Amino acid sequence: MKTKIIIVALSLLSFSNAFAHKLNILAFAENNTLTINSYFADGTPCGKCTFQVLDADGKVFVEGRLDKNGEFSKNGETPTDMKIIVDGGMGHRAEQTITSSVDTNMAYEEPSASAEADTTQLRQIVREELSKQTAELKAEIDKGRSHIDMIIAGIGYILGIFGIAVLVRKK
Amino acid sequence: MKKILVLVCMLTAFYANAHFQVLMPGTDAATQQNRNIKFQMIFTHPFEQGPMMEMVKPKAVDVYHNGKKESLMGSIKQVKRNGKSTWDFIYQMKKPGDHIFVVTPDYYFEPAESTFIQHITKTVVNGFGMEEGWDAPVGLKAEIVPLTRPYGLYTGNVFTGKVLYKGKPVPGAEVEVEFYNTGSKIKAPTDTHITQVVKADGNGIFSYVMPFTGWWGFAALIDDDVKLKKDGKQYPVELGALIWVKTYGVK
Repeated sequence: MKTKIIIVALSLLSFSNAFAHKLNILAFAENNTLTINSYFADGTPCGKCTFQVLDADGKVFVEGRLDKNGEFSKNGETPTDMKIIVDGGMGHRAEQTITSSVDTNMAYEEPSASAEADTTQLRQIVREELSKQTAELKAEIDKGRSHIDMIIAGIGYILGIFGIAVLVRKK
Repeated sequence: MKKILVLVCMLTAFYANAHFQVLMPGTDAATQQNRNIKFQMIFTHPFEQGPMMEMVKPKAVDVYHNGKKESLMGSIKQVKRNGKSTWDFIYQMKKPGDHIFVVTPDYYFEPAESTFIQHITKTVVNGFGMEEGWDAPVGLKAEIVPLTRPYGLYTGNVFTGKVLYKGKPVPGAEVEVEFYNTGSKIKAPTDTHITQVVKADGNGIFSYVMPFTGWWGFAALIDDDVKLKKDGKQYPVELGALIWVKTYGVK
């Protein structure tokens, strides 16, 4: 009874573990050789798994079992378009389609370089910001100067009035 | 006086932001239909998208797969961007499993900080769905070993990594984080938002939650034990251990 439970528990564990890993197929048809490699996401090969290769019309081109490393290869001409199906058991089934002209697709995202503010642009921004700041600074200094001007002017007036007063007194 | 202070602050702000070596692939997961991966290597300020800095020919560009190292120096090409030297290469993936790409740039002299900078930078690209190899240290002088699988991430995921220097964890390491702000779509509310900073714990482990969709750079900065001479004077070396990861948003 105990062993039964342990066996059930073990099978449950391995069951859930297998489910967590996706079954993948990597297949190429290059230089008149068809190669298939099937494995789970954790790296475990899909050893001795059954597979089928179908042509564009859905007719079986080749079928059988992968080797213990989850691999298969076949020399000779291959159909232009193929669908590869690998059955890993326990609900694991993977499909991959290939065309004989492998890798016509060179799609990649070009990281944008154009969006980057170039140095001339940056210089321009710095210059504008600086000129704003210096303008304010200048205004402040000008304001300061006008105060001094007024004081000097004021002293001048005072001196002038005193001077006139002195002149008047002398007379 | 206040105005002058503002001016000084403004000028220093340009030096305060972080330099990042970028090693950016077209994708973080190669598929059978898309296995020619184009890489871009630039030295820049990722959040502000510039100014770009001159990147001379790197000392090494390598890919590690299944514990084996392969040099890619033969395939790198110089590309001028904004008048500055940057480098590109294309890698055709042939085997399943994680591929760890590493660029070891030459030393860069930063006059503002009177230091040499070297950012050893790593980006992991998954090969054909076999998720094996990303968690292994490569054995770099300075390295971030990911504890979060560094691909297939959603926006809002946490990234956790371990900072190593000469193979040993760096307790309390300072890690700078920047978003590669393509098109400058994200506006920083304050200057302190540009570079995010986290510190590693006593075991050199740090975490950061990535709030935006795109590429994220993590730079652990370490004072290297070497000094370099320039014009008869000796300068310290800031060694960076960098890793780039991509987050995907859902529609």
